[in-house]
Amino acid sequence: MSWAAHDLEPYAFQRHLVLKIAFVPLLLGSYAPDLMTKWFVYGITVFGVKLKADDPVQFHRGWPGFGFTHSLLFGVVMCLLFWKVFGSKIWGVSFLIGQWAHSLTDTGDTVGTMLLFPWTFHFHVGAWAYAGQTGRMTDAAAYFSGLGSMWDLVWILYGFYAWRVLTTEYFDKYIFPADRSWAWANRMLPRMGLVTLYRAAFFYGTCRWIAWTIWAHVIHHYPYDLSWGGPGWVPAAHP
Amino acid sequence: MNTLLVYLGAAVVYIVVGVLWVDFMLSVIVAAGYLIVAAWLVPSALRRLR
Repeated sequence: MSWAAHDLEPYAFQRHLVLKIAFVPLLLGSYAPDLMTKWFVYGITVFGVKLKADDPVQFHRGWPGFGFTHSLLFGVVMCLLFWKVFGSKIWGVSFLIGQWAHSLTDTGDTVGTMLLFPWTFHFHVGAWAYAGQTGRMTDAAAYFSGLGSMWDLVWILYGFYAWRVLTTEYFDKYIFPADRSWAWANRMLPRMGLVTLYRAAFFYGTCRWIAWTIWAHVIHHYPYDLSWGGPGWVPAAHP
Repeated sequence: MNTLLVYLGAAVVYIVVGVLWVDFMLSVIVAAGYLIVAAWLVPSALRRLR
């Protein structure tokens, strides 16, 4: 799994797909595969009751489980839903791009994704360890010690290289007119508030990459291991 | 330039709080709310006070 790439990739796509996509569904698509599952992978305590998947890897990426949310087919189904049921082609296509980007990015870890679901084969590059089954903190420490963290850094640097997509001028010229939902939101929030919201995911992805890196290596001294499939000190899950 | 400084300041605070209390940086919704306050509402209020 990736920790910051899903926040940052939409800005890179936005730079290259000017006018053809709507940013909000693009971001929603980028978050969608993990939206309803991550909390149950790591586990939460509600009124003293611990809720956690018995097999987090199977639940998150497998079948039976919610692994289909990381498939190309899920993106197509959601695209058709937005397009044919809710009547917005641009929302459908934008969601599709974001969701496909997430599904492809997550093939980078050792578990990978069932890209061609209902075929349940897990496509995986295995560049960094999937460690969601170890809990949130160990997963964070492992992710920010391995190549996954470097992959996120690529997207941060690319975001700064494409800094113009974050400007007010760019928002006014391309983002706002491409999607009517901004005009709807503009009834409640002034333009500068909308620009701030538009920048939020980039701010979030970049800041938490820095914060988790400091947490893992300055506060807790977890060792970096940029070897393929690493870090070696965490038990990596496999499909 | 002023905008950039405001965002940099907001980022520094977010990172420091996040490192000390990691729950703060688990949600993009919280981050968006924080950014609205730190990079838009507070600077706007300060501009009006001047």
